[in-house]
Amino acid sequence: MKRKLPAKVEHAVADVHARSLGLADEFERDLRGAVSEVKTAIMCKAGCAHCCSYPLYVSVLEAIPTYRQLRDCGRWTPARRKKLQAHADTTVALAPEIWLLSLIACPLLDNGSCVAYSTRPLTCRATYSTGDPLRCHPHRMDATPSIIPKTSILEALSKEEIRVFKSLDASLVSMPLSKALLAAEALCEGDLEFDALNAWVYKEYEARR
Amino acid sequence: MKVKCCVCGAAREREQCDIIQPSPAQKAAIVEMGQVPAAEYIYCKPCSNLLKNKEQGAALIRGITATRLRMAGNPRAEYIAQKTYEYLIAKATKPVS
Repeated sequence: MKRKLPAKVEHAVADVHARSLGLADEFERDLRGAVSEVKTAIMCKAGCAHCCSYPLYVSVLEAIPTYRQLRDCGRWTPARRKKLQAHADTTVALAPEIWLLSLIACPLLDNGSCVAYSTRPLTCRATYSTGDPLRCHPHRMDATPSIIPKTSILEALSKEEIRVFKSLDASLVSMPLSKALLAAEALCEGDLEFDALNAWVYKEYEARR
Repeated sequence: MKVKCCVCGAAREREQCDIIQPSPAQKAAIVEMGQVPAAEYIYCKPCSNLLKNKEQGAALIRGITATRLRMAGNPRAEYIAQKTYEYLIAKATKPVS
C-alpha cells in the first residue's frame, strides 16, 4: 500500500500544486493575449530543450507530485534514480552560472522530451520563448534574451510556499530539482520525516560546500 | 579564513577548498600562454568536483570559451569552443602508454 504523508503535509502539497497550476494557467493566458497583441509568436516546440539545461530550484512540496507521477507510471527506475543522484551530487551548492555554462541537462530529459511533462514544476511550465530558439541556448544568453520574464509568478508561488511551510513549522528551502525529487522519495517512502527535512537538506549542503 | 574560488568567485572557508600550487613546469606553461601564474589556485568543492569529472569539466571550459569568444565578437565562438571540448575529451581519454 502506498504510504500517505501526514494529513497536514498532504494538504500543503495539494495547496502548492493547485497554486502552481493556477499561476501557470494565468501566465499562459496573459502571455497568449500579449503575444497576439504585438503580433509575435511563441517559438517553443516539442524536442527543443535548451531551457532544460537552466538551473532549476524547487521546494520538496513542488517536487512531490512529480515524484509520485514518475513512481506511479513506472518511470522511477534504479537507472533514473542513479541519474538523479549524480545530478544532485554535481549541482547541490554549485553556483548557478557554472551550472548554466556547463550545460548540465535536467535528469528528467530523455531524448529531448521531459518524462514528467504533466507534473513539471512551475518554472518549466512558464518558460516560453518568443525569439530564435538558438538564443535560448545557455551559451548564448548574453545576446538579446528571448525568454519571457516570469519573476512575478515565481514570486507569487514562493509567497504561497513560505505560508504553507510556516503552517508546517518549517522554512522554505529550495534545492536543485534532482535533490528535491530524492527528498520527495525519502518522504513518501517513509525514509525521512517532514520535521527532519530541513536538517537533512542542510547536512547535504554542508557536506558539499 | 574565507577565500575566493577562482572559478565561481564564491567566498568559502579555506579548509573546505581544494588548493593547487602549480609546479615549476606548470608555471612555465602558464607563462608561455601569456598569463601570470598565481602562487596558488583555489577551487571550492562544487567547482572542484565538476572539474575533476572529465566530461563536466570539459563542458564547463567549452561554455566559458564560447561565451568569452562571442562576447569578444568572434563569429565562430561555438565552433572553436566545441573543438576545444573535443580536444579536452580526447586528451582525457587517451590511454597512458
